[in-house]
Amino acid sequence: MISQLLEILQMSIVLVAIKMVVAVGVVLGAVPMLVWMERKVSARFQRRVGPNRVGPFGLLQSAADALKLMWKEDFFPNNTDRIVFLAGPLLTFLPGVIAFGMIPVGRASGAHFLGQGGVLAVSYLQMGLLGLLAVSSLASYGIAFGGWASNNQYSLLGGIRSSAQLISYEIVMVLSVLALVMTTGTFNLADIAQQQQGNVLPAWNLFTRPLTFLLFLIAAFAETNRAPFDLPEAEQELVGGYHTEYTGMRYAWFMLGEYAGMWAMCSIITTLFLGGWTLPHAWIDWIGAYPWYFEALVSFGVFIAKVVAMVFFFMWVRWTFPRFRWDQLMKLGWKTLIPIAIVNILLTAVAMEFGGWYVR
Amino acid sequence: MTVPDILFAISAVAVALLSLCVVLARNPVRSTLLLILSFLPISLVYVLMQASFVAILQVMVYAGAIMMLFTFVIMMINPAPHAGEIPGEEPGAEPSRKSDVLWFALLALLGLVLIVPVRYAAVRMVAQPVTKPDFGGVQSMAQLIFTHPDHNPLTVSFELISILILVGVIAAVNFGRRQAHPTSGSATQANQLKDGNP
Repeated sequence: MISQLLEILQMSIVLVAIKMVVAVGVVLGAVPMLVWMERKVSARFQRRVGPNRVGPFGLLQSAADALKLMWKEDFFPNNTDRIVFLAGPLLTFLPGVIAFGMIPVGRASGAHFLGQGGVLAVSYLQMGLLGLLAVSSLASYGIAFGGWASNNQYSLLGGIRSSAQLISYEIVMVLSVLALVMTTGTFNLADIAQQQQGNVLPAWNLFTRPLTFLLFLIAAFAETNRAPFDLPEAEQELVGGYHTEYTGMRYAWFMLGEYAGMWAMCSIITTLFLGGWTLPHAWIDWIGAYPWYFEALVSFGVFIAKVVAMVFFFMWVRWTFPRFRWDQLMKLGWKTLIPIAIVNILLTAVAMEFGGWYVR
Repeated sequence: MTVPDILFAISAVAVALLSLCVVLARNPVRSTLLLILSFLPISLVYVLMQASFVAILQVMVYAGAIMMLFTFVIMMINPAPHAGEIPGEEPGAEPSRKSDVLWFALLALLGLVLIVPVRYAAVRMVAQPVTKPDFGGVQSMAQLIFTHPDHNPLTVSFELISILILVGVIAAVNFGRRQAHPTSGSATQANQLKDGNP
């Protein structure tokens, strides 16, 4: 029975379909939890209790919100371009899901039917890191086009801010990734995660390349439009920014997109700098005695735990720091971060030349 | 018909239709959106030709970075959602002029004529087995451009092409510039500088 099932699994199209369903399910399941977590975390930071009426600990609050949004009026602003208006929320949501599909979320080295060395990923690309950068750079289009199609000056300003922000901080992100890739020597995300396993202590890139990590982190905040870089929706200046004119489920799609983007970005940071699904050999090697699905579950759990910790850090930053002013944002990006990123590349090159240990 | 064959057919038709829509759309923002969408099937065609690095660059550089700049500039100019439509017409309705139909028929005919050689060329490219390991990958691309013994001048020509594109951009800006108004201060200054008598 089991062997027959595995035979069916080996037909790649079935396997790919299952993997896609699981990946989309993980993202769609994570997003309501993230919304709940954000509300709880923000409440705690402001010495409130947060949602606690719907379900235990208010866990069903997101479901209640979704139900409410579904019953709201489906509103189109006057004289708008409907196709672009509809495309906005969708274009925000899709890149996050696609990006998550490229990230290896675990490893079952005994599962030979998976191929690709047992790495659990929907699409296992040799150039996965480049693919991720490509997909994540598409995420701001939804905000930009949605803001324009709303036919509202505030929304338009939000859209323009989003695109300008992405152009500026994409450069920082790519330059910091360049410094990382110089030492890893590969674009394969699974290899990059595996390199950081370490024997007794974790050899995470976070510890060995702190400057690269810091640059990537700041660019990640800006690319996901999270505070302190949430200028596209700065509610004190722009009413609601790009989503002012959106109601009901279309507004919900924007929210889904924002949290899916944050989830994907935290997964990328986990893979690149926190060792992905790996734990050091001394901690985890006992697992070889157990069947492959046990290893798969444990590694997936480790990955999710790291991602959630990273998400908590994102929320911590959002509810602690005030928002940048627009000119400060541009100055920080172009006059501070890009020069630092270039110096970082030089420093990495020097370290590689004089210290062989620095090369992975 | 193999799977790559079908995928190529789908993406080729998608590229052609989307590009046609880019030109025919009357609103610049819609054109931009369609142009971004048309880059995705182009990148799929690259994947089918085993050029995965080029495919990813197509999305990352063109769809991701350059079109974002386009979007930014177009939004700074901010065309109204129904800009480009002829006043008095039903909003959103495309005008049905005879010349448009004629042009469309001509283009469709040209496309039909071109489809045959393109299809055979593409099928030959797709069907050819890849013998080299890491074909189309980052490493083999870098070696081809920077260190391959037979292609060493390739680096130079690669850089020269970028200068050529820059020259083209400057020329386009020059031709596309609006006629300077004689009374506005900066424009007169620019004209004087051009004439050589400041």
